[in-house]
Amino acid sequence: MIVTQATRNLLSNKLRLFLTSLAIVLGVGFVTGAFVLGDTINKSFDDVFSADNSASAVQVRGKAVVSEQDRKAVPADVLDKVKAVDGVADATGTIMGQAQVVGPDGKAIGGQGPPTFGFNWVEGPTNPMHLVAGEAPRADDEVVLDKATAEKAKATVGGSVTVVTDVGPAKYRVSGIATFGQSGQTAGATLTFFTPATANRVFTSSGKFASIEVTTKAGVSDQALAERIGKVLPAGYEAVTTAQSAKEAVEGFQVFVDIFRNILLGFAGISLFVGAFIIFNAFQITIAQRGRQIGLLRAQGATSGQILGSVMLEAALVAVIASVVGVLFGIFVAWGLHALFNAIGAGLPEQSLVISPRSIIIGLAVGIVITLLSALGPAFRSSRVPPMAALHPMPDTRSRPWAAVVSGIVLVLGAVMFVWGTLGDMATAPRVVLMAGGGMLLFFGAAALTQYIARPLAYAIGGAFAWRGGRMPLRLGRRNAMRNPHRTAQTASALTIGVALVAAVSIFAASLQETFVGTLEKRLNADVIAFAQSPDGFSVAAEKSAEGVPQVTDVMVSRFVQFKRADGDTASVSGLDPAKVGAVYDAGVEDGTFAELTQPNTVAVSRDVADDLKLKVGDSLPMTFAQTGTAPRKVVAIFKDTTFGRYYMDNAQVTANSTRARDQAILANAAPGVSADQAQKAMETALKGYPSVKAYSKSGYLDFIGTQVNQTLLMFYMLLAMAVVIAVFGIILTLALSVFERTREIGMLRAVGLSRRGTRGMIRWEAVIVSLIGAVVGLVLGTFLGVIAVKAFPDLTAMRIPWLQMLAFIVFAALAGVLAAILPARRAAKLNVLEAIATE
Amino acid sequence: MSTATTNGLAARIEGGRRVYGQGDNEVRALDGITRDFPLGRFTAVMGPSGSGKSTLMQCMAGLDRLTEGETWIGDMQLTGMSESSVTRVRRDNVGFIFQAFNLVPTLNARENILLPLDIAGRKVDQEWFDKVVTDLRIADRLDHRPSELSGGQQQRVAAARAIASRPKIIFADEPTGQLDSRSSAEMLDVMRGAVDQFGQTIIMVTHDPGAARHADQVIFLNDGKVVDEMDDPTADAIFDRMKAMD
Repeated sequence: MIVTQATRNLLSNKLRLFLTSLAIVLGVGFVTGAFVLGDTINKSFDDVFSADNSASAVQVRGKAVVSEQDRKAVPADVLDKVKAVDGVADATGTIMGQAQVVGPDGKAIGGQGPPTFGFNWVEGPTNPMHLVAGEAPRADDEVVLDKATAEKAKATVGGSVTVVTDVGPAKYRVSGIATFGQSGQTAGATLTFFTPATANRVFTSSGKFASIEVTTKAGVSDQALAERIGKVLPAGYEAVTTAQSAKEAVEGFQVFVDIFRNILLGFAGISLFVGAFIIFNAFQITIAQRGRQIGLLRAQGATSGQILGSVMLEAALVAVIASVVGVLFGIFVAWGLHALFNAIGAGLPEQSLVISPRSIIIGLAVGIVITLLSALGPAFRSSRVPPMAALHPMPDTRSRPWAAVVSGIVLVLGAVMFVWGTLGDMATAPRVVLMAGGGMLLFFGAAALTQYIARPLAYAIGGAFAWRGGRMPLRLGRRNAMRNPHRTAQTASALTIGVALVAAVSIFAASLQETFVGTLEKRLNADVIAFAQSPDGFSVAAEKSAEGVPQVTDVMVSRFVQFKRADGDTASVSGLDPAKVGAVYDAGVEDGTFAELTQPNTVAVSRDVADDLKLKVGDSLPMTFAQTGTAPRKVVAIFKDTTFGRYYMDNAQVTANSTRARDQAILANAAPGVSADQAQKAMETALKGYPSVKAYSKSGYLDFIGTQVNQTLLMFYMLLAMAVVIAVFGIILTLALSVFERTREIGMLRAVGLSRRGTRGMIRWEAVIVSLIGAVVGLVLGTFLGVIAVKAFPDLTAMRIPWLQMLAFIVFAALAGVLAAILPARRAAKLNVLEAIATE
Repeated sequence: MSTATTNGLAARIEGGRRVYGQGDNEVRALDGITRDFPLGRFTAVMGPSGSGKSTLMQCMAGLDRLTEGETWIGDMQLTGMSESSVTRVRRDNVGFIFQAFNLVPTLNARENILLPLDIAGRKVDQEWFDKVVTDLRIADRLDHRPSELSGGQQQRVAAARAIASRPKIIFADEPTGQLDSRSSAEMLDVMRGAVDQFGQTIIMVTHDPGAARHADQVIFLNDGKVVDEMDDPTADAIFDRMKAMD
């Protein structure tokens, strides 16, 4: 009996089933999609870095003193020592650097994330490349490209290609095209191979190697050989098996894949959270509607346990259907995102989706558990419906006074937890728990409290639209919104979450913009700023081209290198030219002077670093560089602005401590008598050969930074917009249900002369008012969350609340209400008056 | 087309047929009814279940459409009008009293009474309103929600709603169906009074001879046809006539 009852209830209103399931489908989809995509990307990196791809068995390299990527170069004489070790079949030195391939249109190939590597072509078994066309580079101006890069650059064997290296751009003849390893996948990286002599020259390696690749003689294990080689190496170097280094490389990438996956999971969490609200809501309403039916069952002897079972079974059916569809949708999401990333140039390897049982099980489990949990409350309530409900309509449940107090406590507790988790000093795990838990409590509390303000708020919002003439549909809609504040609040809360998150992100974005653009506007004096277009920076050779431009003066380049502090933290130190910096940028020096940076072993630190480490001018700061090791450096200046960095050294000293120097920016002023625009144009022309750097005017640069900030946050906006869309579906659902509930009343209104248009208007106004309640509460919460988030980042020195944007959210919420009302309003208008009146 | 004049008539139906279903399932709820309803008269429509009395009322009120034939409210011919025009006619010329009280639960009694006027955007005639609510003895209940009123009070509010806008005609569908005898009597007195004092036209569908006797005329329906009529009826006469029909 219970089973039939549950399935009938479910199928009797397919629209409800669809709308209820939707949020869970989306949430489960994102959970499954995050795992499937993560697995897929990991698998492809596994393939790329797999030891199978490498013919060598042991790798000799500098120890990772500062970071995995930044290792001390290996001197040439080490190669001879390694070659002499018993068991070594062959050993070759790898020269490595940044080689930016330029397409025929002058644009950079790759480099937006995946690296652009250049190597020396080595002969013999240690070379992981397989020539598929042409031959190895023999002449100094010959290169071999990997196949994907060659295709993108439209380069063919015998043709020419431009490559930018440390010595600047140059044309090379393509002697051959090769594929990497077994799979041929490079994960979007571009690979260029030069002759050893050319590689040594263009990467200014002075005969040193990035690493040495070794193959073993038969009968010697890789591990044993690595140990044997290790014994002959000078201090600061290590020998590891290729399997080991491949594993490290994969792990390095996994960190990024994990971050990305966690972001997706975060959004999945938000979708599911909104979904839980909608499910709770849907069950709550339908159970209220079915009060009479349930009472009848009870009167005929159904136990409260059976009622509970029936409702939970119905929930279970929704849960299973939605979760299964959600998992399928998730696979589609993974596929779509994979394609999308490649479309925007992420260069993910071709890889069929990796759908592990774990991804499916987690998706199903999350969907089912959340649906059941959300339905539990309403189900319990339904089991307490007395048999008398069959005879008398149940009165509206009055909220108990202590409920408001409890909700208030939950709200405050949530706020405190969130603030503590965001601003407190703790490890990541408790932080995430506090922030997510606090955020959830905050929303629960706010959603529960909304019912107490829903009535006055609906009244006020309805009143605000009185200029529309205060006509009947508006008044009826307002009444409807005020009628059951509990439900109004619940419907609104789905939108509250979406709006709150969007508002918080927009405050964060605005503050980020304000901080960067605002500070730069004030402190940046340069007329022309040439800025790196890739995280790898650009070739140091560009500086010479810039200095040769007669239209500019005060040309100052800024390069960077990583170092490690005594406390183990890794940081980046930027280079500057002490003589020129004052002309182009005001760092706000508070103590000491940049001029002294020309002295050996000196450094300038920002005020917050100085405070943190209790440093004064004249104190010493030990810094560890991969290339040169640890040395104390004298603090010669303390400055305020941290826009470009927290540590400065002289450019020459940065270069001396770098394994591979790369530049980040070139700042310059227009020469006397030259306009800023002319100067920018001249710089642009001079840097034409370097597609990884672009010359901006000051305003152009500020725009660029602003755009960068927005683009970084674009994905957040997009994913959050989805939460809002889910919320709109929630409103559609509630409205549709309440139209159903009010069939008779609407029929009566129609009978006494309310037109179809008026009926639609009534439902629309209700939706608009409910949406606006959600938006208003959401904005308040979002402002709180956003302000706290900004406070959590000491880098964000400016706080800006974008009021205009907030206003736009309100308008959007109203539009969302209009949109959500379309279907239910149409349904209400189409009601057959006769049947509606006859409905019991 | 009909050339019938509607002068002095509150409503008229001519050749009215209403057929539900098709083929074997065809039900002729109205089977060719022609009838005039003069202004200022209280007409009761009686008949056994399924005789078509509710269908007659619904078609005449513009809630349902005839399959064949024509209806008028005053001189406005509903047949052929668009849905929104019919709605407007209903709004401006027709009052309803339903069996189940059909009040809007969120509106208080006053708001419910004024609802049709509000929807039409018409001003209330305060004097008239006061008289109606006083006569119906709900003047002190105006600020109460329907859930706070008794069944009789709710039905009187519904009656006030129908009368307050001074419609050309009021259709009442079993208005006493859910009331006890005392409330029923009050309700019928109110309706009688509206006809006598204000010249209101009322068509009431009922199966209760006790209710029908308050009307000026009773018409008897069977199988979708008018089979008899009775002026100045008494309860006994109606009862006998009904018994004869079974």
